[in-house]
Amino acid sequence: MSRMKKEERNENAEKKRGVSRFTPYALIGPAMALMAVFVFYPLADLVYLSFFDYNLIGKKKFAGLGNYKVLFFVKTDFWEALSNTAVYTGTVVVLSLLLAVLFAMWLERDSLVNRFLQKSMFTPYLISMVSCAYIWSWMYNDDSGILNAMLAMFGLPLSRWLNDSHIALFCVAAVAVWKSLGYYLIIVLASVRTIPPEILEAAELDNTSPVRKFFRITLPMISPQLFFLLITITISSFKVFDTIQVMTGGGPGNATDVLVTYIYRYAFEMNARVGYASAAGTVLLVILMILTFVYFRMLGRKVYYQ
Amino acid sequence: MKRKKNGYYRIRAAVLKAFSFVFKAVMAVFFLFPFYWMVTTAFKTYGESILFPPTLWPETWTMDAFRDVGQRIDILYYLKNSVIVAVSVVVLQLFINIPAAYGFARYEFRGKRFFWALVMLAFMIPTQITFIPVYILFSKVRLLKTLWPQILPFAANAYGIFLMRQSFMQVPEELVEAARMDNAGEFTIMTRIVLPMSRSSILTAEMFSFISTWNSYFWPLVMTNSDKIRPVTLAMQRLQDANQGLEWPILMAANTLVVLPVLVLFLALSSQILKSLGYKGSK
Amino acid sequence: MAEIRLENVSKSFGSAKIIEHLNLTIQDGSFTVLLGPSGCGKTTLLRMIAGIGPATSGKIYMDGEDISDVPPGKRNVAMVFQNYAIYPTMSVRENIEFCLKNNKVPKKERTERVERVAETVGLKEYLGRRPSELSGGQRQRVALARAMVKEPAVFLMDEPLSNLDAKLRLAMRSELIQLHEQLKTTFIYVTHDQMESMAMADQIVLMDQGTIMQQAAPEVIYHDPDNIFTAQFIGMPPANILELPGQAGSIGFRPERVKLNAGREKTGFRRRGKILTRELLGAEVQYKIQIPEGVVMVRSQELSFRAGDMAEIFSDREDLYFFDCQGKRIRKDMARLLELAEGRAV
Repeated sequence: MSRMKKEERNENAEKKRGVSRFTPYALIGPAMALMAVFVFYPLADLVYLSFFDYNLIGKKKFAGLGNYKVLFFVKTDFWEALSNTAVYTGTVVVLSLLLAVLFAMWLERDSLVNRFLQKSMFTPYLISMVSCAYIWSWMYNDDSGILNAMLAMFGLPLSRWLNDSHIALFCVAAVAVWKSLGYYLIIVLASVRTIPPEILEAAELDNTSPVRKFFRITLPMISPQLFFLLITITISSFKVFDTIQVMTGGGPGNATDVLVTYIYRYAFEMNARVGYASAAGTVLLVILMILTFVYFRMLGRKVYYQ
Repeated sequence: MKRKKNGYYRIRAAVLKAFSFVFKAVMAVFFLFPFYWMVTTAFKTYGESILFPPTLWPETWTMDAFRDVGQRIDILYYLKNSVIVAVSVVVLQLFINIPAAYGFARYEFRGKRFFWALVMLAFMIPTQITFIPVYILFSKVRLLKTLWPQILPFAANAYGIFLMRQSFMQVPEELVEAARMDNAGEFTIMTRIVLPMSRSSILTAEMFSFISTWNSYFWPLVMTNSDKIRPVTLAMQRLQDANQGLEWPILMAANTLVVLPVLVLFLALSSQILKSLGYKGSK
Repeated sequence: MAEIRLENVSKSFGSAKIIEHLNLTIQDGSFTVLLGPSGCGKTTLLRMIAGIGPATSGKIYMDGEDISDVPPGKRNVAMVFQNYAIYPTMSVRENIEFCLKNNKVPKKERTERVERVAETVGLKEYLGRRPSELSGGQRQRVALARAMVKEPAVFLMDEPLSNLDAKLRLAMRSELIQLHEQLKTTFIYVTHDQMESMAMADQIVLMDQGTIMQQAAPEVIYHDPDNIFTAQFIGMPPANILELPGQAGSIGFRPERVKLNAGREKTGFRRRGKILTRELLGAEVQYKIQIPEGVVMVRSQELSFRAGDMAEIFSDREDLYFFDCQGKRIRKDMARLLELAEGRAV
């Protein structure tokens, strides 16, 4: 009721000030137009293309659900890419969250040393994924890489790192964690620091062990931010591309092939099977939509706050 | 409740502190070492770079790798492409995102909720989803040989609009009303009151746009057909392809050139960046 | 039950020195109030005793045993925080029980103790509630119960009543006094409210800028201040302080110890002045009076004066305090000073 009145009053006031009814539309117009062309139209077009056979040059040929059938039931490489993506995402999410929380507890106090470490950890976040990928490729190098040198120093058997199909995916995941951990740490730290200090002090006076203090007090109180991070990291891991492309190109074999490298390969390298790639893209879209939906549903329920 | 003697707790605290300090040093090294490794490799000779075990500190310092980078690719040219693209994106975003955010923040209009929902939807759709149709679109209008495909799709940025709207909404209505009573026009209110008060948010949003455009790899890889229009992130690949058997010092030298400006910028601004990020994160 | 002794403790935050070389003994079983203006270091002192803001240097003893580096949870103290610091993720019962669980008290005993304490503070029906469902007064009771259930040797309270409304504050005040009577444990209570300190304490430690200005029973603090700061901090309105001629120091007297137009038979401080303002306080009136040396406040049951009237104020020599130039109380050789003060009487 009062809200309606306020709006009415605003409108009247706006008329008096000579603000045209079209002013807001003029303000948001350019942005909305650009989004229409570069987000919404492509979104629709992607789904549309996924029902056609199309190679950029020839005519589109309607294929119905044919592309999806090939994707799921004929070829096995899509399943491989999908499961690689899932393993990669799981690894990155678990490691990032775990380490971010551990480091946040450890660096909770604002001291000079802690601030320095925090800065060191954040630095890789600003560097391009490609540069990180090159640097780590060099460190992972079989013949003269520093990591193998370290293994040798401790008398351990050497590893083939990126060329070992069992661990290549985890090696790439480690780079992603290394690069972004500093950023996640900042978010977790900021939310840890919003906990009233008296509550933690009260816990100390109650003779709470650090572990118990973490699980009973800190963790429940930072759970909304952790959940936000969980979704953010999941989504960004699902679209991993740069590191894989630079470090392994999807190999060895298909061991590190993920959804986006898969789509890219089919759209631009393998005779431009655009319709087929679009179908794979649509699957990625659906996955991201589900994740986003879950996020907002859970957020609506509020994980926890006073 | 059992309590031990004071001395026990004193020693325990000291030991824990020392242990924690050492581990922190180790972690700092772990996170910074790759950069150290990049820079030192860049100054090594090719022969030294493939020694096993490698040398932690170059035995002979040489600029050869940097010279070779210059000989193999015109790195300045690619840097120029990167700069043009990143700056254009940031400037365009200023003129497109700010008005849009202002419209959403301070006006009531029909369809506002619908349009806002569209912005949030755009926020969630990554470029990895839209690149095929956008590529086809640019090929139809024959712009693939220009820098536009790297610029235009990012001229409107849903995240930037979201961030700035939040900050515009925090400007108290009383302040705007006071300005109206001082007979300020709408444009004056926006430029003299709301925008200056939201400066830090605008800066943060723009800075991240710049960095993410500067660092982008996937999009230019997809959208460029010729070397002329590629940014420096892609040029690196040519160093890799250009010869059989990788010459790591050259690759690391090129990387050093690309990374160093960002590192220096960060070290200069780090406290501010961390603060604004922490603030954003806590919301 | 415990005696707390602080020996030569200092505390600094960065370069700011909050407390320097402070010594203090708090008697076993006393209700000691740390009183002082904000920023005087009283909360810092309390946190040192609790162990949550350790001293930069110096020693803290509990019953003669050094506890300077003992973690808070092992000190056998309990604290009630200003904003209660209730664990928001736990129910009332879990809040109260938390410490007992941490100390591995068997379940049966735990339940007994929790219920007994809940009964005492009147929270029995609320044990299953979440803190967010409680009123301010109830939260304050949870905080209290949480401290009580530990049966600590020392209760530490940091302005526990300041977030309550006036009526509830008075009620809780007398409940706390009663609680101390029952438990006979050491209570250390921080407040900036002198009325609260007067009402509750059997020892007041008055602090300013990190040093102890006076430590004494409330009556002593009120009637026999050691220095100008104490005389002015305690009392409503504060004691009148006037400078004596010839840099001899100053003279002070309480507004409620002033008679208006009294007889001439006694010796003391006597001046004529003009009434500037008159504030009715109910049974009494507070006058602001201009005398040659300055402005003085007077509380009197004499209601008849009006602003603008002339009146003679008189304070008995028994009620006069003399201070030296540093603000310290002079207790000897006061005859000369009295003459100085009287000598200028009209």
